[in-house]
Amino acid sequence: MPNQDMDVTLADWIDQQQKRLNAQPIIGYARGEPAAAEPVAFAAISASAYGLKEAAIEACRCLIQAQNRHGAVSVNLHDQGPFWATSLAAIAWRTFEQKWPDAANESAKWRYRDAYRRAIDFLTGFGGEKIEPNDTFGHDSQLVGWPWVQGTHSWLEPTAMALLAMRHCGYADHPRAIEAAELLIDRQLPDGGANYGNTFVLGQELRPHLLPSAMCVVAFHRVTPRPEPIKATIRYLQNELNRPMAAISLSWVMHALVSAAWDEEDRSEIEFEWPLRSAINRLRLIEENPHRQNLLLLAAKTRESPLLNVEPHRIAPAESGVH
Amino acid sequence: MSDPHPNNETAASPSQPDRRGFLVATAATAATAAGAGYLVHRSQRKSSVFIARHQSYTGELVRTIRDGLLACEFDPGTIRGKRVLLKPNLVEPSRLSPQMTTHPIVIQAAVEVFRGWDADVTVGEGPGHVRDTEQALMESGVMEALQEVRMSFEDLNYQEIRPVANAGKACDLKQFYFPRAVIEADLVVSMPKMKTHHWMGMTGAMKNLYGVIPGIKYGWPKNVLHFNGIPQTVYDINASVGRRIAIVDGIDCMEGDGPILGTPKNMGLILVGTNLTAVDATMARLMDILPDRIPYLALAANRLGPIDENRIVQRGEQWQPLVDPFLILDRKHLRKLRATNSHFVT
Repeated sequence: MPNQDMDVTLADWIDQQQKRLNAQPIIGYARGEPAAAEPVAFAAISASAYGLKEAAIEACRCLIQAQNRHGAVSVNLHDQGPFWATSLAAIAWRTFEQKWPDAANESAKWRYRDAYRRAIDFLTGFGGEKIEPNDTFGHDSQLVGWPWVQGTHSWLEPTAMALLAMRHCGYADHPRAIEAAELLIDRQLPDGGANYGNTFVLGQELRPHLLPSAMCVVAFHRVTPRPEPIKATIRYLQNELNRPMAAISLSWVMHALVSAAWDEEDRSEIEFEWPLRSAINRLRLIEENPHRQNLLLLAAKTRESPLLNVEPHRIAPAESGVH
Repeated sequence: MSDPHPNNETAASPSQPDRRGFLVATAATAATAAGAGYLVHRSQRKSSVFIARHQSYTGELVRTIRDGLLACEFDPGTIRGKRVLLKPNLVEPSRLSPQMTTHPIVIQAAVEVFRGWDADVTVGEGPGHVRDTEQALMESGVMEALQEVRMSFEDLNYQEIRPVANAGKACDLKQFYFPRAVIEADLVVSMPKMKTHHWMGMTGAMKNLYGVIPGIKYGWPKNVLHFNGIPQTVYDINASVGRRIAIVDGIDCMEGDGPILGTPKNMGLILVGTNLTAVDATMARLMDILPDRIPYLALAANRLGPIDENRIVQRGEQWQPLVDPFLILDRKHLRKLRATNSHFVT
């Protein structure tokens, strides 16, 4: 098991990681793997978070080069889909624009606003397949969110990513965003947390998973009133923070819990240092993984993470899951 | 809901697979071109399945697995210096349900067996429901187990992928995208957990190969496969992967609402075989399930391997005395799985 005593301080680790990110923002899911849209998008967002302008530009431009004529970005950058990473690319471009508005749109070739608007156009143009209602599944299979792959059902993580992208890019009131929020609420488990996309199958309640649960909470960041099912999911995540978490899950859980405490007057600091250091140490033992390190780097920003830089959004009580 | 993009899983033509990929695809294409003749000829041969009982996670699993493979006439010389990919089942690991996933000790034992035969061994999996593979490895205990034996892990969900022709053609997919580690493997060892499955009745060595399909391309769950038919895609994936054998963790198993939410059932068995269809048919019998009622086995029978009892050579223990009915969900689509109307659970 990882040694809990890092031989560098967290501040030193962050410094090292910034240098690493600055030197190489175009990355894949692991060392030696080809560049992919999700790792590049998170490299761009992390670089923006730490003011690494040149690295952010390189990553954002890489994503623009991969954007097809329909506005979509394939997860394997120059492949023909699937396109679920389009949402993350949109967040990356919008984040850059918020950080450096002039630089984001100064060149006709690299106009980030056009890029994310085209991305949102693409997202609003397709969705998951409905499934005829039956007693097999517990969720509302008529709600349309986003699938992992075109032609299949809507699942939780791509829907959360797309909703977050729409909120970042100013489309919080779009009907598809509203339906996506309904879908995410519908798929929370009764005692909190979310599975990858189902609630009940053949009468049995499924188990919650960290990553989709956290992504749902982040997708609802600054949404008021906070829907009851999302509150329950926050409680689930708070309880889970006491056990070891992998880097990617931890990053999203940290974002979720920072979001949960966003407006609390007594914003007592959540203890993130131990889980962060554990995740960092584990990566040092198993593999140096720039993608996972970038996500931890982003999470270390806590309230300053660009992922949480969205406008507040008020939803009507009927939409809030409080029935 | 229209979309301007073609479904990349069905429309794109194979690009430029590398040499190994080409060999896999070519062999598969040749098999398809030869059609039923090739498959039937292959299926006419008998296959051996080895069963060991009284097994435990503290026992001599290395010896059991090694003896079992040799008893099934597996030739270690064929993998000396070659790449062997061990593919356990880590579908949705949970501390609360160790009976769901292949036990880390069984994986360690298999590593030792193949290392002892001088193979270039790796372990790889593309968990079907959990996108954070590191979390899946932690939850399952496999991360620690692999560290103990200094074994690397191939993340099949996120690795570089290449197209390989669908050699089975039972579903409409023209090709599958396989991860590099699968394409480059000289031998893929399917290492499932013995358990029930609430759609298929049971899941074994053949269904376990869903895990070689990369989530990055097919999603979490791998919904593309579901939409193209579970039995058909199980069959096609098996027909399209190269050389395969099976080592089954049948020690602490799962019955009832498998493959995720079922309850523990101890069987104390290890099953080994060089034909996955024959292994799964034997596993079904041990669970008191009729193999020909399992849709993917019915499809594979006499095409990918035998399911008839008289064409499976039993090594080690005989299966008949070891039969112990697994509880099956009392659902219409599962009631026909066994001869007697018993051992159902709601």
